[in-house]
Amino acid sequence: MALLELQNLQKHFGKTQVLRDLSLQVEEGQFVTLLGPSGCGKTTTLRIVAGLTDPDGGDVLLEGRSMLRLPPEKRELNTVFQNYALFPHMNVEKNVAYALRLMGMSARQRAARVAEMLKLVQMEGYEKRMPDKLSGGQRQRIAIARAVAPGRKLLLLDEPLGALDLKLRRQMQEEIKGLQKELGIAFLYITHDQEEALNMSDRIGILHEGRLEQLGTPEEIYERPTSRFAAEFIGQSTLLPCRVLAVGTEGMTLEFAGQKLPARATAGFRAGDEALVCLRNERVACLSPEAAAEASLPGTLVSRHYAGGSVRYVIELDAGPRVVCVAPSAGDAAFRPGQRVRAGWNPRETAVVR
Amino acid sequence: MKGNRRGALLGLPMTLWTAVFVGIVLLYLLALSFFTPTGEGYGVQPGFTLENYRRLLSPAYLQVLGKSLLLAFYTTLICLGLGYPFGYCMARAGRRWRGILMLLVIVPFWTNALVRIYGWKILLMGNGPVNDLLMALHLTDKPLKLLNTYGAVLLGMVYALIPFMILPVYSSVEKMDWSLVAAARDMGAGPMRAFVTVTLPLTAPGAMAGVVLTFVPAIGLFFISDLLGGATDMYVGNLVRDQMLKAKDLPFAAAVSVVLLILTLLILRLYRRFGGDSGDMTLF
Repeated sequence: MALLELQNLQKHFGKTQVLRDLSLQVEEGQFVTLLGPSGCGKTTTLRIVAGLTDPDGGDVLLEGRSMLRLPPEKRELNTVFQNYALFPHMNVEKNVAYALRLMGMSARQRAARVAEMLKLVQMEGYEKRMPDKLSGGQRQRIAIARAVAPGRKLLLLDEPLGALDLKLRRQMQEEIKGLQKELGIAFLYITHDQEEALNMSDRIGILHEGRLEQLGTPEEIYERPTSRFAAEFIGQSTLLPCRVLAVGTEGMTLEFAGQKLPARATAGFRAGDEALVCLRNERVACLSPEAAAEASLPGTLVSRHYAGGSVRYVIELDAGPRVVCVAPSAGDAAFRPGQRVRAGWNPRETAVVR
Repeated sequence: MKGNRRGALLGLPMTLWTAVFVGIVLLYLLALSFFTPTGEGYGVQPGFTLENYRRLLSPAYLQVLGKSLLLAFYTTLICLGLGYPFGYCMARAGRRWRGILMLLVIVPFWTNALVRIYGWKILLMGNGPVNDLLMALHLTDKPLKLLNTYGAVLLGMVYALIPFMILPVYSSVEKMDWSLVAAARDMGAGPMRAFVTVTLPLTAPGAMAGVVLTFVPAIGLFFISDLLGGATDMYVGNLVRDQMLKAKDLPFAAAVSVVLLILTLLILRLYRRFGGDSGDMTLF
């Protein structure tokens, strides 16, 4: 039995449908991320799980029992809110102890638990500090400490790193992932940042216009996107519109602007179908015109941009579309704009979507 | 500092205005409170005497002061009890209701306060609409004495001053970050507990501003007790007026005013001591 199960959640705000038939399972101890652009319904989903919003249809089960009738305070889970929502009139200690007090812990137990939690998030000694005297990263830690203090099996996190700068965000990603492993509890994490999702999650659900577009491990999500949205939303890619010529057991043959291209076998395609080849920028190579490649298309180099560790090429294919290629700068052949080149790739590492 | 000098220059008209129309007047009032009345009309004899203040310490006048403070206290208490929920609901209401409630609070300001209190006088009269209604509903068989009671005075005071409670409460509730209440609920607090532990402390500054804004004028209001209380009870406001207009004892009236002024300053001092911010007193 899954720890948390969302069954066919529906939600409308006025005439806009925010969630369409959303189903998702979170197993015990799993780090599941809902990833999507703003307005995709991810925060609504979290609020429904927390009990702060009611769905129009569907069910939310925690350990097999429906939670829909329960008010937020009766649900055995806690939330790390966007912008932290620390109580500004209470010091760190009182914030972290807030739930513990309501659980009826004695003062001594509370103090011990608070100390333990602050140690967990490396904020020992900050007990008496007021929230407005903390930095953004510190507030984040306290918000996490407060949410894990009651010791529930499920923690909801609503874009917890959204307000932090890039460097701190990277650091906190690792800490949050480490914390989740250490506590062994399940996280349902919400973000619009794909890097965050790919770095931290056991499983990622891509949410688009209230629908679960794809659910899978970070690797599955990146290597085998199953929809155009998933392919475009994750990573930097160019999508080449093709037509399926033939489907074999080993792979498919596609046609692009009169040229045949090999592609890996992908379920659901038949000869004659429209298909999009998802060329990840870093998986496309900029080759000399005579170089051999399993799959390649001729074109002219439009620009070359050196960016330290990598070089970014923009190739205009003879058939029209532009393909971006990002290659390691070490060993770079240093093609010049205007030169004839080929954009080449490995069809087995390249996804095909509709 | 060039910027500072320019700022001071820009503020000069305001400073001058305050100095002339507030500062000088208050200084004159203070000076007047140490003078002696000549007994002929409004005549005063300049000098320095504490006699006016000494008179104020007599039991009769202290009682007037005490009664005024008590009335102000009750008024404030009732205003808080009614005004906080009103302001809270107004801030939480939808846009449409918020507009309607706001109008209800503000419209009375468009009419002279004295006129409105006369309105109450008519409502509460022996053969007025309130008694008519009570009799029509058979709640009483003969008209009740509503006018010229302490209750009527209290009613008038609350009626006149409650907007000054509602508006600061409204603005503090309106500024509330409701994700904090969501967090409290998430942490296991029921709606009541979340209100008491989170909403109430965070909107207390608004309520505190409301308390000051109702209590301070409540000490000095005199026409309400005159009109609705039948002028049988003497309050500080009445005292000042009577000493000025009837006894023509300007120095004593000034002394009473100075005491009221000091009281007000003390209350504001207290308000700041407990973390009050005059910004919370902004009504509109």
